[in-house]
Amino acid sequence: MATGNKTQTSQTHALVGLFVTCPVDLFRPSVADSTITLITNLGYQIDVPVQSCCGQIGYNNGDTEQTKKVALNTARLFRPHDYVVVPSGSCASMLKNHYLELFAEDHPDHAEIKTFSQKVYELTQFLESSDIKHPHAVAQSGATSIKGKVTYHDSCAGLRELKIKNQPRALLKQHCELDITEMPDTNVCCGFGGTFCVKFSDISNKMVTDKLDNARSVEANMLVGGDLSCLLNIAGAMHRQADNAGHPRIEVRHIAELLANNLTDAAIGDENG
Amino acid sequence: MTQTAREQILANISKALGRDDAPTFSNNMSGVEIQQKFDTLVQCSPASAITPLNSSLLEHFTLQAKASNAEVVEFSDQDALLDYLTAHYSALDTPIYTEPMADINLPKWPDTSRLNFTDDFTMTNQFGLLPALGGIAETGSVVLASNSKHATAAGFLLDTMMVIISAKSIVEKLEQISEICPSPAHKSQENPSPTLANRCINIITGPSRTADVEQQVQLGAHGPRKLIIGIML
Amino acid sequence: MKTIDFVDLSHEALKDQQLQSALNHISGGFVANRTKAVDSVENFEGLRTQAKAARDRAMQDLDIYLLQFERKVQEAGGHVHWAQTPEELAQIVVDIAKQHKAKTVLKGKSMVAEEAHLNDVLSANDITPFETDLGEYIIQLAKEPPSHIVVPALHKTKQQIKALFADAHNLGERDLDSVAGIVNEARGVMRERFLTADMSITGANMLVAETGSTVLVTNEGNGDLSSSLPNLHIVTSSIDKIIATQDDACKVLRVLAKSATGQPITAYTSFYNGPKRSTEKDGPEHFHIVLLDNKRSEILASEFKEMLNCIRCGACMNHCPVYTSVGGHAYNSVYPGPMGSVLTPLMHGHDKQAFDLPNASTFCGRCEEVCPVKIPLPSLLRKLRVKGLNKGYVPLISKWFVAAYMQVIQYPRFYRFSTALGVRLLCLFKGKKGRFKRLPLASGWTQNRDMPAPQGETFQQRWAKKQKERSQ
Repeated sequence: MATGNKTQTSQTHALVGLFVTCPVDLFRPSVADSTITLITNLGYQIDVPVQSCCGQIGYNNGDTEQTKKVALNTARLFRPHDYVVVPSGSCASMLKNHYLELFAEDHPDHAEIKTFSQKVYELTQFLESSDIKHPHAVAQSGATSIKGKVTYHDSCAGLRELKIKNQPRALLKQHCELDITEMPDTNVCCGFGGTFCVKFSDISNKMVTDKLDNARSVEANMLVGGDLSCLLNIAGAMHRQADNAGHPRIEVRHIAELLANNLTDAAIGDENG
Repeated sequence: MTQTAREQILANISKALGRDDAPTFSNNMSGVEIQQKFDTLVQCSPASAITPLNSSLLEHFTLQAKASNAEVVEFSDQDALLDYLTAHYSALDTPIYTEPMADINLPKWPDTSRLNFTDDFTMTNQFGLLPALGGIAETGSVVLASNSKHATAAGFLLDTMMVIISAKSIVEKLEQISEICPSPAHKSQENPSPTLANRCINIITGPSRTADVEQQVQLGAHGPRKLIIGIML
Repeated sequence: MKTIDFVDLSHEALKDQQLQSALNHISGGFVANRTKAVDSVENFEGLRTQAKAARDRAMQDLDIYLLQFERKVQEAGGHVHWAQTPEELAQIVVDIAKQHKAKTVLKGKSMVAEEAHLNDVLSANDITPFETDLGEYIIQLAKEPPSHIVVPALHKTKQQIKALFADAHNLGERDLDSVAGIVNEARGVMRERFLTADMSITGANMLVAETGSTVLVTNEGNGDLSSSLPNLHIVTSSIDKIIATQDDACKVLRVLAKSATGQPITAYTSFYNGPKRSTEKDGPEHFHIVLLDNKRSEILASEFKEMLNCIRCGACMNHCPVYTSVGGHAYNSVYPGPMGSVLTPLMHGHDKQAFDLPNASTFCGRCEEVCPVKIPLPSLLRKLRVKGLNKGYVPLISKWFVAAYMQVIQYPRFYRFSTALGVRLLCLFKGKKGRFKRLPLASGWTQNRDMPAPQGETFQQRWAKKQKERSQ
C-alpha cells in the first residue's frame, strides 16, 4: 500500500485532512471530534477543509458524469494534505477505489485521482497501518470502563473493499482492553445500502432484524462499528423493536468514540442523559 | 441471401471479438483450418493449482472415497474377492450382475465356482460388481466408460454397486482422466491414431444423493444407494 | 391480475412463513458447507484464478471453439443445431422429437430449457415431459417455476413436498414424514419412466471444444439414466458453456461443486461424446445438441461480457442477503439472485421491470467474494443502473432527487449552509428524545426504524465556529 508520494522531513508536521462523511457531519459530529482527538494524539496536524459528500449516492444510482465532477472536486480539495482520513469504510472505499474506476488510465485526470487515492485511509486502517510510521504511538484510551459484552459489526465496504477486519479488533483489544464477543454472521450486510433501505424497506428491515437477532443471540450489551450509516440503521431498528416488542436495548457506538474515550455523549439514538 | 441461424450467431460472435473479417470469419472454414486454429490457441495449458498430496495415492484415494460415503475394501487377489462376495452377497433374492474384468487384470472373471452371476442389470434391489478403468485420488472417484462390455446404465440402475479397480490405476488428479480414458484429442505415442472416444465417461464419487428437500443430504436418489470400491492390490 | 413487480413480490415473500422457513436452511446448509469445503483446500484462491482463466480463454475465441466443438460432435456421429432465440430452440427440439415419433421425454435440469418454456411447448405438441431431477419434479407437481438454479425447489418445505407427493402418487398409506421416505418414493416413481421413455432432454454444464464432449454433473444419477437409456438424447445448451479443453474443464469442475453445495465433486461427473458407438452395449443411437444464443453474442460485445463466465453454481444467490430474504420467485425470472439481476436486464433490455433487479442490492459484495470465477457482480449491477437511468426507467422523483443532491454537493459552502439549517430545524423538534419515530419525507426509513436525532448542529458548522474563535 502506498504511503503517499511525498517524503517527509519530519512526520510531526504531516498534515492530515479529515473527510468527515455526511452521516457524521449531519447526525453525529462527536465521531468527527473523536477522530480528530485520535489523529492529533498521534502527532499530526489536522485540517478540515469545507467539504461535502463523496458522491456515492450518484455513483450507485447511475449518474457517473456528476460523480466524476464530485471526484475531481474532492481530489483537488485535498491536494495540500499528506493523508486523508475517513471514519467510514464505504466513504473511504469510494474515495480510494471507486473514484479511480471512473477515470481510465489514459484520462487526463487519472494521475490526480490516483495520487489522491493513495493518500486515503479509513480510520482504523490509518491507526493500525504498518506502512506508516506515526510520530507518536496510538494512545491508551482509558475507556476500559465498558461493562457487559461488546460485539462488532463489519461493514461491507470496509470488509470487502478495504479488507478491514483485524484492525478494529486489535485496536479495541490494545487500547480499551476489550475482547469482542463475536456474533454470528458478522460479515452479512445490515441492510442499509444507501437508497436500498428506503426503496426496499421491507427487505432492509428483515436484514437489520437478522443482524439484531444475531447481536441478541450473544447477549451483546453494546454494538460497535466503523460506519455510521450502518450504525444509524442498526440503532434505529433496535430502538423501534425495543419500544414496540420489548427487545433488549443495545448501546450502539462508533469505534472512534471508544478509542478516544468519548463516551459522555448518548449512544446512537439514545436520550441525552 | 438470408443467413442461417448458425451463420448469424457465428458472425455476431466474431464481430464481438473484434475480428477483422468478422462477418465471414467462420464461413466455410475447413475442418483442417479449424483444427489448426484450435491447436494454436491451446498450446499452453497451466498445471493445476492443487497442492501436492502428502500421502500415497492409495491412501489419499481411500480417504477421499470414504469421505464421499463410499465403502472401500482391499483385495490381494481374485480369491479374496470371491471370499468377500460369498460372505456378504451369497444369499440374495436377485442374481448378482457382473461384467468381464480382463481389462483390469482379472482375465478369469466371472468366476462361477461359488456364485452365480447374470448380465441383466435391470432387476430391482440388485447388487452388481463391475470394473472401473481407474481411480482419481484427488476426489476418491472411480472412472467408468461405455464400451462393448459395459453398459452405462448398469452403473446407475444397480441398487448396490461394487466397482473393482486396480491400485496401480489410481492417478493423482482430475486432469489425468486422459490417461485413464484416451480421447481423440489426446494423440500420444501410445495412441497415434485414436479411435473415437467412448460415448460416455463417468467419474463416480460415492453413492447417489440429493439435497433437494430442505438441503438435507439424503443418500440414494436415482443411482445406486450404496457404492463399494474394491481395490485389487 | 398477478403482480410481477419485485417490490410487491418481495412483500408477499417476506410474509410467507413457509417460504421463510425453507429459506432459513440456506445459511446452515449451502453456506456453511461451502465454507467447510473452501477451508479444507489450501489454495482455493488459486483454484478460483485458474477457473476464471479457463472461462476467460473460452470466451476470448468463442467462435473458433464453437466450430471445433461442432466438428468433433459431427465426427462422432452427433448433430449440432443453432438457435438464435428460445422460440427457435423449442421448435428445433419439437421437430426432432416428432421426427422420431417420441411421445414421452425424460428431462434433466436445464435452465436453457426454462428460457424456452420447453415443457409447455412439448405439452402443447402432445409430448409429455417427465422431470427426473427431484427438485424439478417437485416444482413440476406444484406447477411452479424453479426458484434457484441448482436447487429448483429450495422454496418448498418438507411438509409441502409431502403434500404434493401424497396428492400426485396413488400409493396408499406410507411414510412421507422423513426425507428418506420422500426420496425413496421419487426413486420408485421415476424408475419405470427411465426404462420406458422415448427420448431425453438434458442440459450441459460445459461443452468441451477439444473433444466435442458434453459435460453434465449431477448428484442423483438422473442425468446419466436419462441420457443412456432412450434411443434419442437432445442436449440443450447456451453457447457460453463452451470450454476450450478437457484440462480447462477440470479447472472448472474443481470449484463448481465446492461453490454450489460444498462437495469436493458431485457424485456423477459425466462426459457424453455423441451417439452410441457400434460396438457399445447401450446409449442413444441419435444424439443432438441445440446451441442457443439468446443475447449471449450481444453480451460478449459489451462491457458485461464477464457475466458469460458464470458456471451456474448458485453460490452468489446462496450468499445474497436479498435472495435469502425473499427467495427466487420474487425476481420473476429464469435467473434469480445476483447473477440473475445481471442476466435478466441484459436478456430483456426493453423490460422496465427487469431493470428493477439491479436496484435490489446493497452492493455488499458477498456475491463477488464467493463467485468461483471472480465475476465482479456489484460492478456489473452498478453499470446496469447507469443503463436503466439512460433508458428512462428510473422514476422521475428519484432521478431528480439524486440529480439535485449531486449538484448541491458540488458547492461545499452551500452544502454546509443548507445542511446546517436542516439539522437545526430538525433538532427543534426532538426535545429530549434521542430519536424520531416519524419524519416528513422519510417514511421509507421511519416505516420500520426510528431515526436517531442529530446532535444539535452539523460538524462543519461547529468546526467553522471553532476556527472563527481561534482566529479571534
